[in-house]
Amino acid sequence: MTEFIQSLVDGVALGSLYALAALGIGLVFGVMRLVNFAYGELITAAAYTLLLTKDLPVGLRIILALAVAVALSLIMEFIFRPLRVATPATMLVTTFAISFMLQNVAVLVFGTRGESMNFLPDLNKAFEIGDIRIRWITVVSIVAGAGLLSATAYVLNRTDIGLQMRAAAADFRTARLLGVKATRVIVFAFALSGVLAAVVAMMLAVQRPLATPSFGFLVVIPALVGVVVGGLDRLLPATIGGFLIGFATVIISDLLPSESRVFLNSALFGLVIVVLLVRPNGLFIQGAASGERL
Amino acid sequence: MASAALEVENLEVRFGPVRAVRSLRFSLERGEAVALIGPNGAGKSTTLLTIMGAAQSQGGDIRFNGQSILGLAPEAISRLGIALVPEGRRIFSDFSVEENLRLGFLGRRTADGLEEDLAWVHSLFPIVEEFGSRPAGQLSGGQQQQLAIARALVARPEVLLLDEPSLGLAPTVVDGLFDALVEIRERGVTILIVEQRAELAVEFADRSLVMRNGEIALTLSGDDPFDSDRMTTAYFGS
Repeated sequence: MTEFIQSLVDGVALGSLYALAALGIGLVFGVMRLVNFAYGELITAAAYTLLLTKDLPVGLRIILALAVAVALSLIMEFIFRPLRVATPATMLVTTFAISFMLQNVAVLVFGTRGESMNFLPDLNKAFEIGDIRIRWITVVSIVAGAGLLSATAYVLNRTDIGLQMRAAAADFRTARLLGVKATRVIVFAFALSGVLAAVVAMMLAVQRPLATPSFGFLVVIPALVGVVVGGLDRLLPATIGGFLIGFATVIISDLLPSESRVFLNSALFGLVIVVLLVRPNGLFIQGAASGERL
Repeated sequence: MASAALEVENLEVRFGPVRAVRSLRFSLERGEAVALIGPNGAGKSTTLLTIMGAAQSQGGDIRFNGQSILGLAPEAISRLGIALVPEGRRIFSDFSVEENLRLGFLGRRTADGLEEDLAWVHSLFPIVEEFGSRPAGQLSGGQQQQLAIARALVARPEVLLLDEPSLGLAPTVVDGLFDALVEIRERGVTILIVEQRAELAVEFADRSLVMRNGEIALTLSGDDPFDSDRMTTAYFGS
């Protein structure tokens, strides 16, 4: 029982992280119908920022990591601009290209051997409630995840720019015909997704202290799977999908006997295939999704 | 001489090899109501979308108050003072009625007079106020059309474009809709309406243009009686 509760807590923590990454991908997809594979490189960029600022005060490191991820996200938006009228396949291939290019730049500059970011290592210490050991980073991840998800929900549902983003996501052409400035909502979505990427990077940096060229890529793949499982077309299901992937990863990994852990990904993706066979539009989406763009 | 509210001059719109709109030329005087009628595929909706900047033209010009608006983005054109009630209403069905209406505010050039405009729109379409917090998708077709028009009106447009407002609505509902359009015209809003129900549109408008194959086949002034022979010829060719 104790072990199970332990798994639940860890599952919620990793789920929160993947949910944030899924939300970052979903925000951009909503307004642009673009699956940004290079999203992981935003996370990687924030991680290398933490590495390069090792000797600076923590507050400053956090601000710089946020600034770098947001700036890189806005540069990506600028690169994608001519592609707004392109086919989804063209956009997808472009994001692949950017992703691989940035990963290789990271290999050239930093090498493939990871270097320690040394970011808030004390958060890995645990406290005990009864027999359950909880690391502080678990608590921080859950709180940050819940806080940022609520903040994003607030922006989307209670502010004018949020209303415009939702309108653009639901029906881009009609939104523009009413006066929603296409570039403004897209830039805002990219900026927000950059913030989320930086936060994911910081949470991960505590637990996986080595900054490597594939640091973010390894997060984005499962998060993307979560987004697709949840339903790419709507933010909430996509975010829940991301959460579930993170959660399921921990639970399955803890359920499998240790000698079978190598099958973790097989088990996980097997589950994903079953879900997509049964609900091809996503776990929570009913009916066909419309993809009409201007 | 003061320029017309909206002028379309030698407009050309092609979709691949298809000339959807061919050297189209017409203008709307300030405060005028003009109907654009004609068979399916005549290029009526394309004309409206091109005016709004949502379809590309290959030639000609579109002027609003004497200024060319060709090549501007839809969001820029709607903010200049032209509002479209799109075909199929295009209500955001997951959003509340009030949120749908708020999106209409984006087209306003000034926040002044917002209360007054809202009061007018609410008196014109009481359900918009009454059902403000409901999801717009729960409204009936006629109510959604009212909301779509209300959403365009709160932008306080000088020119209102309507694309098939009667589509899929019961006759009594359509009558109510045209009563509202008469009130809107009396407010001084210039109106260009695309409509399948030709007789109703001709009766409402100061002038009616019959479009066929991307061109104007016939112009009827408001004084002309509805002549079904001439209309048939204009619709289907002789």
